[in-house]
Amino acid sequence: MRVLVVEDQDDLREVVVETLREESFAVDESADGEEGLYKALNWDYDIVVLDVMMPVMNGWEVLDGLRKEKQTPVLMLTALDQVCDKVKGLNHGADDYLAKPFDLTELVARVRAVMRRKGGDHCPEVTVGKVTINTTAKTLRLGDKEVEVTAREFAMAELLIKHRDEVVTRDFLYDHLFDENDESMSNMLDVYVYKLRQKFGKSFIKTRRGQGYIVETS
Amino acid sequence: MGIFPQSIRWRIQLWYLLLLAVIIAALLAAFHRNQREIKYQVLDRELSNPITRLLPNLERRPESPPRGRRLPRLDLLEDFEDEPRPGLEGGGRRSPRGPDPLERRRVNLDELVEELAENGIFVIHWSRGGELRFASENSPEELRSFPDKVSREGDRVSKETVQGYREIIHASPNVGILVVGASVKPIETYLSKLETKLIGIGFLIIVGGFLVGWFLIGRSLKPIEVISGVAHRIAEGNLSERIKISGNGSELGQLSMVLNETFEKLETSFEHQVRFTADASHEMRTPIAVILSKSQFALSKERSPEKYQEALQTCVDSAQHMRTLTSGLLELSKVDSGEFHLRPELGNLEELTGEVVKLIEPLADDRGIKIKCNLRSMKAEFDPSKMRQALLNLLGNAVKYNREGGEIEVTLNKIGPEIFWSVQDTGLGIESVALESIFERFYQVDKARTRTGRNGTGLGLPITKAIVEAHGGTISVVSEVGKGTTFQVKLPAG
Repeated sequence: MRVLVVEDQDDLREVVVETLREESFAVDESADGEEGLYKALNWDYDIVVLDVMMPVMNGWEVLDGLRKEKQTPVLMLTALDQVCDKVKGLNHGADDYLAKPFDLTELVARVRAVMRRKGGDHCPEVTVGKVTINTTAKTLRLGDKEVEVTAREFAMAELLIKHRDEVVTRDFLYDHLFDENDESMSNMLDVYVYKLRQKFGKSFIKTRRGQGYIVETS
Repeated sequence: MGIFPQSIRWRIQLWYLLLLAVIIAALLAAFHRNQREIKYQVLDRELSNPITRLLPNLERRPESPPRGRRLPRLDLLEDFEDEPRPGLEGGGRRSPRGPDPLERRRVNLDELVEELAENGIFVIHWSRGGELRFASENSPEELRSFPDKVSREGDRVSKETVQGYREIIHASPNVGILVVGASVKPIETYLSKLETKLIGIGFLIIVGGFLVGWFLIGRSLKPIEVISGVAHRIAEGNLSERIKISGNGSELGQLSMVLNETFEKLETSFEHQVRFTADASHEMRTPIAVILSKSQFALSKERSPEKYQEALQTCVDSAQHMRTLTSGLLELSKVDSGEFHLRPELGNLEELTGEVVKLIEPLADDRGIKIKCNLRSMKAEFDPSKMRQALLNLLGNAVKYNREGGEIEVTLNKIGPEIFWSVQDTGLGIESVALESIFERFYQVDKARTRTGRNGTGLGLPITKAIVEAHGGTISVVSEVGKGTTFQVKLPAG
């Protein structure tokens, strides 16, 4: 899952980015609205975490600019917590709203909730064949047995399960699993697929030659 | 609006009514009195006329007595003594005696009395001694007794009203006492009818006056109701309400104007307050958010010592930023509440400037900025710690917003009666739109321009301005985008 964090306050942006990375998201960051809007329009993010009070271009303007072209989920992050501000944010097309100062755990939970809603899953636990994923607890089970996976492996499994019964292209996987700072080679994808097949059986991820990968429910 | 008696409308109304009632009553009473006098005058004239006609008939004609000889009065009395009393006997009957002059006079007298009786006038005649000579038939019984109080000396005419009768009393030595009178009942009836009418008219005038007064007072008090309505709505929080002014010339129009100005100021200061509170809370939230999330992040799992150190450092930085912010807010709240007091002492501004430049030099060196000083020795009275703070703010900004390797020029000079102090930098400059707001609280021009400006609170320049103004000076700013900014402080010398 790839996230864009647009926040002008350096310390805050850093900690939000780090936290989300630890939650196995691929995270890009922007220090001002203009750059943030550019990135949001040019990459397909799964969610944008957007601050309101920013230099050059504020959060409302970024949101308006983004909504003209895309339906990327947006979580507004701001120091304004008046009801009218929240209403304004939601009316402008924001998917959720969090006032500063916030709890990091709440931020992560809200980010996940917004993404789940967009993906059509309302429950954090989804089972595909013998494999069960819990996006909140960040666990993967084969049958009843919990299987240990790395953050990247989990992210890949999550993405494939979210788009189950669809062919997921390598480009899509690449865009959503690695952030702008990753200099991973494209064969890294093959490594993660290989490792997941090792842990969950060969039939968990099927290869469609020349197209990509697919996880099938039956 | 309460009804009685707090309401101004009712009070004015009651006073007005009282005054109206007094005036109307006085006028009507005067009119009534006047009518009464006129009526009595007319009656008196009517009664006086018969006297002149009666007198010749009653006077005793002496046969031209010798000069100096007194008139034998008894004769006359004798003459009348034999006669039947004309008034009582139906009067005016010819006596069987021949038509002597006395007889003729009596005939005349009877006719006259009869004529008078038709007009409701009665005549009573007494001799000087108090004997009743005659009384007309219609004369009231109770008046036939001799009026003792009437003087019997000399010619005299007097008027009086006795027991419902108006009478004119003519007393003379020749005639005795002649009373011509008439009942005043018609006059009194007329007057009492008039009185009823006048009371009715007075009542109508007062009722009319009350209604007109109610309407007029209501109309003139209407603006007050409007004003109080607007004030109510403002008190309820609708600060943008204003009184609609009609007629600037009137007292209430002027009051409305003054009130509107007051409301305007109230609204502005309220808006300032709201904005200030919102800004202050926003500025406080960001460092709190940093501290909270950074420490939560650090504690969420076991981390390397470097990570903990970094997290703690960020928390310390944020806490320090909050400290700067709170002390700035505290200082500005003192300015607002008028508790911003100076402790002036005589000192040299040149020394102070030198000190501050030395303090700021290490920061400037870090960014390769050179500070040029152009100072003159300048003795003045000022609060050294406050002035140091102001200068530190200006120089700090000049370093923070300068370009790498730029220059700062500090000038201290005396121009005319003023101490002139300027801090010029070679930074990016400020756009003219931003210049207008630069001394406003929490206004930060640069947020985007330099990442180093992160520690700015947006309170430095407002505080500097407050310090300069507390010293009786002014602060201004000139800037050219791309070239640099100059802050100029002018202080009164001496």
